[in-house]
Amino acid sequence: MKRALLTLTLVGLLGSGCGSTATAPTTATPTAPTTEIFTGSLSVQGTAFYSFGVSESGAVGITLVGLTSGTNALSTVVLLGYGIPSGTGCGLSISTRTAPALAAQIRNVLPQGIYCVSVADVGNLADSVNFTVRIVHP
Amino acid sequence: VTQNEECSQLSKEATSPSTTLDVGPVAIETFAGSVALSGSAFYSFSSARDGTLSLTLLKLDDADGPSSASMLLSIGYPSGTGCTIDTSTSAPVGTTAQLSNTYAAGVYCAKITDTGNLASPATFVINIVHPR
Repeated sequence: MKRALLTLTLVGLLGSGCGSTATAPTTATPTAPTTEIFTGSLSVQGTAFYSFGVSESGAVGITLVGLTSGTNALSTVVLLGYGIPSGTGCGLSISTRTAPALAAQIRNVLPQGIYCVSVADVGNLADSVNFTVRIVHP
Repeated sequence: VTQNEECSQLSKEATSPSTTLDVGPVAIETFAGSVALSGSAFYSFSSARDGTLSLTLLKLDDADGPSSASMLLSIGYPSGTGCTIDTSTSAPVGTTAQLSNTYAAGVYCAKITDTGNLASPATFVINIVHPR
């Protein structure tokens, strides 16, 4: 009898919210990362940028995958960076001078928001080249 | 106080209309550039707080001088190599904001587009006002 009263009391207490029914805890499911490919042409002393949105805080990887001139793959060093779109360009927070590679040259954990990736010639280009940058983000 | 009264009071508190006063410091950024025939240009900016973003097309000059052509003015989000439009309006040069809307804090872009009204490439000046 005591147990039945206790049960009724608990049910009464638990059920006394203001009409709320969704009390079960939920588990956040991490979303699969998104991959964006930024391709373009980089002129001598030029800069190109690309904006992307990070939907939730998480790891972002940026990879300068390739630089090509015609059918030739190049190992030229350029400036690769990321930041926040600002004015008519990309306000860089982090940058590195790098040649193309298979592994991400820049990795960082970023909060939700809008960011940009920038590729720039630092004086090593003799002619315009085509580039490919892979951006992986939440 | 009974539970129903308490819930009723909570409900009233939760649904009472709120007044958002858009006060506080604002930043004014000047976006100046050129736009080709049927072309567009955009400019990114960060708004530090929730509040009103407004664009004023102050000046538009084509090959013949000051132009009265209507241009598409837009507010949107930087995306890829461009600016994805959220709100826009078509308007000629003026001294008061042609486009104004409230937004949460974040990164946005202002965009100007010729929708076929320009007779020749033009230079422009747009004032962007946003919370800072």
